[in-house]
Amino acid sequence: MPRNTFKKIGWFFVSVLPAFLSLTLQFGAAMLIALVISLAVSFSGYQAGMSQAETAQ
Amino acid sequence: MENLIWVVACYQLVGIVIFGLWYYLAWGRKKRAQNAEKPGAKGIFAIILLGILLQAFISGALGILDAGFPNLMKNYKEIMEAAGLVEMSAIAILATGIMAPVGEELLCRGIMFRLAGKVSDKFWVANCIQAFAFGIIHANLVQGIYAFFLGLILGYIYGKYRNIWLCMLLHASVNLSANFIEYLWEALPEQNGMLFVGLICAGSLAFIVLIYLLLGKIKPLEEEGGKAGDIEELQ
Repeated sequence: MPRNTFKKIGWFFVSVLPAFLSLTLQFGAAMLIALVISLAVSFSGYQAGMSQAETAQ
Repeated sequence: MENLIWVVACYQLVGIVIFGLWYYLAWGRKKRAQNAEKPGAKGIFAIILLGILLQAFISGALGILDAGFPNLMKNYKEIMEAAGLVEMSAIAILATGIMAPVGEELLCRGIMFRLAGKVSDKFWVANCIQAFAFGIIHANLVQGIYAFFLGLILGYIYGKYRNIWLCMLLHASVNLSANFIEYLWEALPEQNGMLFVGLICAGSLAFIVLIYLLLGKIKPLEEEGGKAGDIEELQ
């Protein structure tokens, strides 16, 4: 295969690489928010399905 | 589900900062090509109208697809609801109608289009690559397919005017009109509803083709003595 073709294939991958960076950001942001919510929930002592009085006990 | 729109907003904000810096440092300070076309008031109006017509065509075509393949569309609908595209809250409108067009245009037409220009001297090759990547970032099959075709049109606008702001305008027009087009579908009579959807789809497509013909072809890049990736930007 000519060297120029390898170069073009290389540039193709380089040009679509930011798309995968964007996808990583997407999942990273989702994970970060999930982490913040779970930390907030665990520190507040809230339990799903329980009233405030039950949670306080 | 309501927390997911905040995830989308966070992601868009991070994207704008990262891709905005990348774009500005790499190409943003260069001056625009001397012979680049200017759209004028009529051109800007045509671009906004094109966005609304594209949304009408896409959502109409998806409605027809939903009638034929409900299982295929179930996953897509869940993602759309989570992303806030069918929501009318302020944060949903800000995230999907303004932040998404800015971030995604910086990424696809700003960065990837120029990198794709290194693959080939031909405009259509760079345009197909960035449109393909635009489909990938939407991360689901149905949206990925129509995002590819939308990416081709956004790439055409970018290639024609060499102006990323116009791509952001078209993208925002497509996204913001999504909420309002829903009212159009709801207003249609129940009897022969699909026939009306089909007619609106066909009408939108006819107008899209008409706008394309009115805007005209892209000037060959070779005339400017550069490749697609060498396109210089507006200041």
